[in-house]
Amino acid sequence: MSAPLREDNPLLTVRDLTVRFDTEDGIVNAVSDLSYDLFAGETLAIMGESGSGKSVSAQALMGLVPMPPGRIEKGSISFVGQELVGLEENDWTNLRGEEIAMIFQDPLTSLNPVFPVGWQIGETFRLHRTIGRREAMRKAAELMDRVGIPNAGKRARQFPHQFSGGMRQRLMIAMALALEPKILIADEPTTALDVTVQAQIMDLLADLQRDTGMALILITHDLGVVASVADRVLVMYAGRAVETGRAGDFYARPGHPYAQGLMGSVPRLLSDTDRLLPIPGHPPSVVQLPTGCSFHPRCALADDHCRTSRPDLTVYGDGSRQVACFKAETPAALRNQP
Amino acid sequence: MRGSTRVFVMTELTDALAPENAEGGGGGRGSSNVDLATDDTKRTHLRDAWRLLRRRPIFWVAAFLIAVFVSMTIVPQLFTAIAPGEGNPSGEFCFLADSRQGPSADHWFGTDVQGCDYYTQVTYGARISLRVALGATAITLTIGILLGSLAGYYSGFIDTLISRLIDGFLALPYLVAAIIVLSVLASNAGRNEWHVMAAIGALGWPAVVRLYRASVLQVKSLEYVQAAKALGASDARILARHVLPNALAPVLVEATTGMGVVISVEATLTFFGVGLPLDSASWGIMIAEATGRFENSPHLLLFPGAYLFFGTLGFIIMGELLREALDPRLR
Amino acid sequence: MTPPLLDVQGLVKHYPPEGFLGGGTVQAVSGIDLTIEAGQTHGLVGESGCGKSTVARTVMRLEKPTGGRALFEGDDLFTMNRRRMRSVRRDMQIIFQDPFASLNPRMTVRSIIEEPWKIHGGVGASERSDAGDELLRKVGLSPEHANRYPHQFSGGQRQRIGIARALALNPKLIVCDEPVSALDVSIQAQIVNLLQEIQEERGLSYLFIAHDLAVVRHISDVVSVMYLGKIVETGTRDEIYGSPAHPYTKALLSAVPEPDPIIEASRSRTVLEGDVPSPVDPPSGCRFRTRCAHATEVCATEEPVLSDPGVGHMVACHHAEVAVSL
Repeated sequence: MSAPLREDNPLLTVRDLTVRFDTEDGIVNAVSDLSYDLFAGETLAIMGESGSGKSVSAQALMGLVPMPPGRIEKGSISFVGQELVGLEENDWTNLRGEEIAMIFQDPLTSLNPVFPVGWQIGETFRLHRTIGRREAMRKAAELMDRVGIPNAGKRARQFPHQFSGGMRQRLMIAMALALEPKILIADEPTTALDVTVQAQIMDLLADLQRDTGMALILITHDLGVVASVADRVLVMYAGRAVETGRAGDFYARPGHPYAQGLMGSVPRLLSDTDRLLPIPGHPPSVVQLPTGCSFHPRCALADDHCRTSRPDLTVYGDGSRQVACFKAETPAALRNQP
Repeated sequence: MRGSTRVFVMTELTDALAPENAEGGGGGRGSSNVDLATDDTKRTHLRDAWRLLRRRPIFWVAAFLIAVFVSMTIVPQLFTAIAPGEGNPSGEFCFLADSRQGPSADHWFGTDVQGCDYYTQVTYGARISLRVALGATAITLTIGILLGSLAGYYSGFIDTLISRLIDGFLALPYLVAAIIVLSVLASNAGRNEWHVMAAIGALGWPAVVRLYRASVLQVKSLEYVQAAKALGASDARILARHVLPNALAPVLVEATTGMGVVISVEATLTFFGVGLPLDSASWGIMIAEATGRFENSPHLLLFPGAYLFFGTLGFIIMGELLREALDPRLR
Repeated sequence: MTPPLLDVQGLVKHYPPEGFLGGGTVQAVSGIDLTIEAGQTHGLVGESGCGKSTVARTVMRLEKPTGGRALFEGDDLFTMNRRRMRSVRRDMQIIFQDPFASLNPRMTVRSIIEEPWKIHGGVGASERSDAGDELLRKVGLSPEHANRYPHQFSGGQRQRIGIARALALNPKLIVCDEPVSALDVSIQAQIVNLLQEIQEERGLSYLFIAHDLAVVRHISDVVSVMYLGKIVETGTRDEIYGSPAHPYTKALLSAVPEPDPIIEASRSRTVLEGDVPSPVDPPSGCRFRTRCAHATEVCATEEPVLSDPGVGHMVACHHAEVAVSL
């Protein structure tokens, strides 16, 4: 699970990604100036709450942002040298599943209720490789077995409604990994699942990652899940990255007041929390972001500078940590660290 | 996976954009501990529906038709300088000598059998139609909402009883039943508007009950209804205050379409001689009297026919548009 | 010795098979006991399908129980006449999970908050208005916004309105049915703190129902763990979290990831196999046996009863033993 970070070429390079939506209520700045690298075999957790833009940024990686109303205003997504922004739909269909795959929060809507699951998983094979139906079915059953579905051979002929939520999520994983993509994007894969099932699924993902060496982008709001699987963390707020760094560093010394606030507001199982310290206020409206630093209305450290100018990601420490805050590393900020 | 992925993404996106779902509020001023409410973007379902509707030309067409129809009823004076009174033209403007003339500069719609200005007649005909339509619709709505509430809210035996009743009623051919009821109710001479209203209204309720019952079933399981129950609210209060305002919309839509249907039905019944009495100024009467004379004086049939057609059309189109605009939002 | 505020005994709620092709009877809750003292928070945890929400609704008499008793200050809620029930309702209120469905979209916030007084009477119009403003302030909202409609507020704010509504009649017990699950993480903490503040001020009790074990630990004094319609373990907060004895409880606790990578890396987890069985056809004997690593023959034939096998608190298991959880 904790693969050593490689200094060689990143698998995926995102630079200044900016996604906007034109809606009746105004322009929604879903993602603004997002930049990060992803290396083979590592797990990057993109964290944020509703309105943070984390899901949209993932959709952009798969070319799934609906293009009317959405548009990629600027930025680049470079996958092993290939530029993904502006890619033709034809090229996307070759890329999806084969190189980059995605699983979603709700497995129910991703599975077609009228086709047997083995058939649906097999479809991926038939579309990308030239193999016959029976062979595809057989491979599908193999995959189902690999993701831990008992009686895979028989169950490949069953329909989605005959599987429980956790099982369906496994099916989605099977579909996503059929062609052994280099990157798997998991968008809130366990949010809708019970905690015991969540544990099963996260374990499965870790296993598969070890076996295939694929990179995992985990999109979530759950600090616990991130702590258990992530190598690196990227925190988003109001469409921007506000902090990135190695997971261990991040939890030990969160630099951005929002991240500090999150840490302080989460009740813990294994350590005592006297009083929770919630972040006051609520996440900003996606149509009307605050001026300057988007977090300032909720930040105890904010001053006039914060209200008028927007901080960029600045490097701290040995270069692996970046925080977008004028007040990071000030004594007041350091006091808020756990 | 591709097709369903797309669908899923769109849903997610809509969820993220709808201010109702995001934890979003307006830009909070300062860092007070009091949670400020959102800004004044009153994004209600009604506003969304309005925005959708006002862009479609057909909406304005239907609105125009209805507006004309309604104003003919309320202020017929706007349309015709002649004020004949309740459907009976004053002698002043009826010259037997002018009987059955075609449209001319003096008489836009020509004259009728008695030589009265036809335009006036037809215009005033709107009044009766609308009155009967409103009355019948009101009756249907009242019965429908009452029974629908009982069936939907209490379920069990009452629900079964009412549902079977609906089935029974639906088995009756509507017009035939109306004709029978009306013939039995009163003879031709003794019949008046109220009889017709009652007959049409009483026969139209099954559709409303079904619709309202479905609405009630959906609303009653929502948490705010449960909360009212938990507060100790009486069933009557819950049904009136919590269920009704939220379950009404589909029924109102149906009622709009229903208005158009009732207008036509009343005209049909009157045409067949079982509706309004012969001396009322209903379009049905006019049409009935005009059919025999079609060859010589087609205008006698065409004008009331056209008014009937467009009046009905306006309501029906509006009903359909409202359904489209409001329904998905209700889900 | 005063009776507990709420004493649930042998609560059963079964749903008859639905419709044409039915299925079977859904045994949502199959005999549970629960007590809450004044000023205490009793946390009820379990995963989906365990029946905890059903317990909430049945205790509040929003649904008719199939069996059992629920004694509120000594009187059985299930056999009360209408009038008595109505007055008891002033003492028991409920907060729901979904902040969007729990408020009538066609009522202003003011009407929503004042409704409890309108229903029970005894409070004049201007008194209501003042009291309503006070309530709003209490839950952290501004009375200026009382004339707005629910859709103009965020999820967290709507939940606060729901809490204000529940407080209006000054209840002794509030049933909280997953009150923070639908909220963003940073907002959850606000609401949890608010609930604790209110409890400290008014000395009321909570039946706190949730699937988030960390939140339950934070707010509860006493905890019960539910599985497939039955309570499998119950004890004080520290007993359950510190020395769980039932295999399911242990598995639950070990499955929750802690927001601390160092702790996470050194944990050993018991990951449960398989899925939760259907409540229509629960396993014979101990319902948990199909997923339990320690199941033996007796577990299939004999249903374990909640008792203390020497571990210090009540467990329903033939092979209960305490483990120090981590």
